[in-house]
Amino acid sequence: MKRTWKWAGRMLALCLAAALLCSISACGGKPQESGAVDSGGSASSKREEASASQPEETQGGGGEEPVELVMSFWASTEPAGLNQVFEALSEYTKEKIGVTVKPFTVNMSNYPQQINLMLSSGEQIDLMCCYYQWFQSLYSKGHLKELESLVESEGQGIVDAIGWDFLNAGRIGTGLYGLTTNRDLAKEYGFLIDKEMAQRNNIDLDSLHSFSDMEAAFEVIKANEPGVTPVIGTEATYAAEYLIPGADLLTDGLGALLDYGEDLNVVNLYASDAYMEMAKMTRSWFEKGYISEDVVTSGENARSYFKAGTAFSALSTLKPGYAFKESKSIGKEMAQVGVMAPTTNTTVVQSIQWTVPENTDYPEKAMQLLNLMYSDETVMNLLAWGIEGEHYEVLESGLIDYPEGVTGETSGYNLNAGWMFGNQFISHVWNGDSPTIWEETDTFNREAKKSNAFGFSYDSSNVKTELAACSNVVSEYAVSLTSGLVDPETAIPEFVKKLETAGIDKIIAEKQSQLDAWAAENGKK
Amino acid sequence: MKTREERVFQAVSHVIMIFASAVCVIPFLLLIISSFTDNNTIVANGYSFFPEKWGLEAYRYLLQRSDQILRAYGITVLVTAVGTVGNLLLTTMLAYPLSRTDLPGRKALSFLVFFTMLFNGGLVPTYLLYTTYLGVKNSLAGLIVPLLLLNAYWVMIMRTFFQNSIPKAVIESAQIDGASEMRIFCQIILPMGKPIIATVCLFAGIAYWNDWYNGMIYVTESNLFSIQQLLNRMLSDIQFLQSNSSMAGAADYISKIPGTTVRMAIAVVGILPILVVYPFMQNNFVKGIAIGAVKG
Amino acid sequence: MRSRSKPRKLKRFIPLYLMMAPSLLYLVINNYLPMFGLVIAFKNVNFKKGILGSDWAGLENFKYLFATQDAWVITRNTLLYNIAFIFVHTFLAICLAVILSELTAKRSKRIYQSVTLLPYLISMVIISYLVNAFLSSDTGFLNNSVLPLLGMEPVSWYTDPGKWPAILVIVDAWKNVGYLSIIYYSAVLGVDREYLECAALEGATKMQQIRKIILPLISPVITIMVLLAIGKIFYSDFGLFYQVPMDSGPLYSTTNVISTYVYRGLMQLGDIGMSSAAGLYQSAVGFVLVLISNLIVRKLEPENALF
Repeated sequence: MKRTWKWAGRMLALCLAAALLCSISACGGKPQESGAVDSGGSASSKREEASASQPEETQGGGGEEPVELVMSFWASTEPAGLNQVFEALSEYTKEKIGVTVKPFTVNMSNYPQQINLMLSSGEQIDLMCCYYQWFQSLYSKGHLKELESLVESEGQGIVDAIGWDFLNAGRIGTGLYGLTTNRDLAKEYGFLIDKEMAQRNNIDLDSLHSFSDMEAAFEVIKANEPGVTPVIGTEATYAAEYLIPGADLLTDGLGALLDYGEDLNVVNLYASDAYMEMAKMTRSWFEKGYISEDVVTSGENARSYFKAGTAFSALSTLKPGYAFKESKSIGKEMAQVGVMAPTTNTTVVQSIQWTVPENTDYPEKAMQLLNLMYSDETVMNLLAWGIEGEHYEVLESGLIDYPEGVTGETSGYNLNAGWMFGNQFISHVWNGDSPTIWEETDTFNREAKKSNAFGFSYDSSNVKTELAACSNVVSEYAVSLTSGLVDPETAIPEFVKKLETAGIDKIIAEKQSQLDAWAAENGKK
Repeated sequence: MKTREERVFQAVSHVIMIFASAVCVIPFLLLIISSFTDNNTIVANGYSFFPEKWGLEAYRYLLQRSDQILRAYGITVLVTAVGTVGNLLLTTMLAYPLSRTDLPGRKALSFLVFFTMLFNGGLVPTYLLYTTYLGVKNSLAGLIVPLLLLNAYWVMIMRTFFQNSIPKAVIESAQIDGASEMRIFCQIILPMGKPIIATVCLFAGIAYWNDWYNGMIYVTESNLFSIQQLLNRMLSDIQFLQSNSSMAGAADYISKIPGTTVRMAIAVVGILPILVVYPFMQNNFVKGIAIGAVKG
Repeated sequence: MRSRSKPRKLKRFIPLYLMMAPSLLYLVINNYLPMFGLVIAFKNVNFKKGILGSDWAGLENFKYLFATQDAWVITRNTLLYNIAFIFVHTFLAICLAVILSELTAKRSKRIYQSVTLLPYLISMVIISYLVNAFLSSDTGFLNNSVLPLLGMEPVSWYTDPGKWPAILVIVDAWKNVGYLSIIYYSAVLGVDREYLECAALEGATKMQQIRKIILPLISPVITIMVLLAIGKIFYSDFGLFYQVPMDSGPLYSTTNVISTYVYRGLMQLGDIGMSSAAGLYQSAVGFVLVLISNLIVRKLEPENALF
């Protein structure tokens, strides 16, 4: 008996030793270098260990050979012509900046996990698209490179395209970690409405400007249209910012600013009067039958209900041309009604950003490529629409459309994700959209009312425990409250009490102190 | 020579089993019926066994991607076949020695096997080991080797089964006759263990067939997607497409995706092959068991 | 090396050790080598420093598991559901297995067996939609067809936490019993038919045969299945508790378990230290419980113990 234990012990020791070796050479391989801009040297020797057979190491020699960069983004279905487009792109960028580009795509739902794994095990990614819930977590794991000096040296085109005003939203603490793409950078909360149904019931769309106007319309629909739900929302849209004007959720809603952050005073949103008022409003909608109990739990989205003709309106984020596009997706004429002035805050801007991983060997090259994505029409059009003549053609009007015989289903490059790549405003406009859509969007962005804390985002590493606990409490109550499913008079006090035990006050205090420091630095208040 | 009691027992058993089968089949029928229902009908009226309007859009949508689906079926069949055989070998070859009560170190080894059921290093270290050192990323090995090739759970169960239903006397008398361990394993254990081996075979097969996790972690190239990975991906893509706004050109074809029914159709496509193959497998399964019983 | 006295005896077992070698090697690679990752639970992982180079976090990563007043609710739910599952699974699966094995009609036997395995093949996401088809308040079968027939008021299923323990136990049994019964079925088949025939000749009734012969003979398999289930007692089928209740907030008091709590808590943070802490906590508790139960089993029936 003893002997087997000994044997087992030895085996375990062996495993441990081997494991240690593995991990040291793989992820501990990088001594604590400053993490700031660091050209070639130590970084590429690290790559030599990891994958000795990569040809790119010639970079140190003099930069004659083009460098291959891996660019990662998500794509719902990988387009058949993806490689073809990137070959064309590489041809162009090779001339311009000595870089070839290899795409790496995963679909949206697996993207964070796959990229996390790749970054953790040192696989090559040189620049990557990133969305906001995930941006913070990448930052806290130390995966992101600080970009400020790189932008200053290589990224003038980015600054020209977007301006520091919006770029500053990519900061966490004082460091710049993400570069927002140029797209719709503001939100207008409101409703998408089945236009024909409104007309059928003599509802004048032009007269709808507020929640109470909408409520009147719901009443008409409820009375006249049996089987129709007056207002649809989904788990994503039954959220406080859709219903409380001027709320800046400061990333996660645990500690938020009200009234566009006029006083920069972080409060518990869920304990505020505004929240109670909102919950009472939706509760009354629910009680009058304007909101369906089933909607949140049915797993359907608003479009399906519109298509089936069982919805009158849906809570939505609007932007210029939104109803027009939705009309096409739904196959019915839709109208959009904003009930709040367009607003913007850091979270909105951070929702799509480009980042450079700490691991990359070629930070300058990555930044140069990013620079082209924001300033070079050829690059941007390739990424957004593919190859001219193959995936699209330019019409006489200057707009673009599918070439003869190609449709959305058959096109080899149907990502349709201009908003994901650099500067959407320098790309072509699709036939059917307003020819001046980019000017309109730009105006929409600039005129949106900015939260006073615009550009601030907090570093959550000191309050992780509380965040995890509070997130659970929020998911228990928030959607039921905003969708009117439960009585706010009893549920909100319970909700707030649970949040307090879970430590929301610590998060609020942490946010407030970081916000104060930020305000002092930026001359706010 | 059936007694009255036996007849009553048989009758009651049939009643119970018919009830159980109905409970299992009815929701499954609903699944199939909804996959053939018109999408808008489901959204408006809910799921129904007797839909107002039938529809084939879901399958039409899947048919557009039939190349990919067929390819993924091929990958999965290959992975399932190789994986199941490998799994059976590893499981049996570990379970049998552990079932020998006279084996020195049996308890310690059993403990080491059991320990792996509970504790693991987590995804990141496992991924690191498999991709950096064993190079399984984007290869069939990535679908076969990690996690699925040997499951401590089945080792423990099979061990118990061997211990329980193969009399020690049988092994001992073989040893006295001078049979080698290998011979005992092949000629006594394997035939007598058929019921449990067939069971593990079935479950390992299902586990490989249904696996999307390894694919999600280790395979990013679409030509290596297994069927469940592909179907899963299609599901989440449809959800993504439907809930996100996009440009005018795409809107048109998004409007044609039957979101609700296609979910059901995807489930049917994933299960169907098992339903087709299972009766044949079951045939062998029963035969195997009969042989095992005779030898015993 | 103390046991020099019996090298001959050991030599006899070499073929058996060799037989195990590939499997053990696999366990070392697949399970033991990555186990260095367990340190992640005690680290504040920053990949700039590497996993091992990251700062120690002490028990900081475990704190959130106990940070709400719901901590005991999720622990209670996890435990109670698992205990219920162990009982329901074992009872129903054995019933099914025994009935199937005693049925004489070959063809219907085969049909029953295939059909009861069906639910296991359907993924939880799809099951959640099927459950929704029954429970949805406007269009569900229960509210529209079944309850009115029984003269009962419609129920708002997704906001009434009291109904969910029963629903989840039913759904879980529906999905898993057919599958588990196959294991017991093969165990029953391993029982020597001669015993049963003898007993029948001596006039034992069917029920007596089952109780006195079949059950005792398959009890080692039952014991092992229960022991293995105890090891996983702090884990839950995530899909069952997250997707089937459609993540409906009002149901949390009876549907929130450790796995869903961890998922919801870390969805935004994506902190691997905290998620491995949760896994380690779940495993450690299961481990201790198994050790205790195994000790008891070893006292009672040493042959049936896990190790």
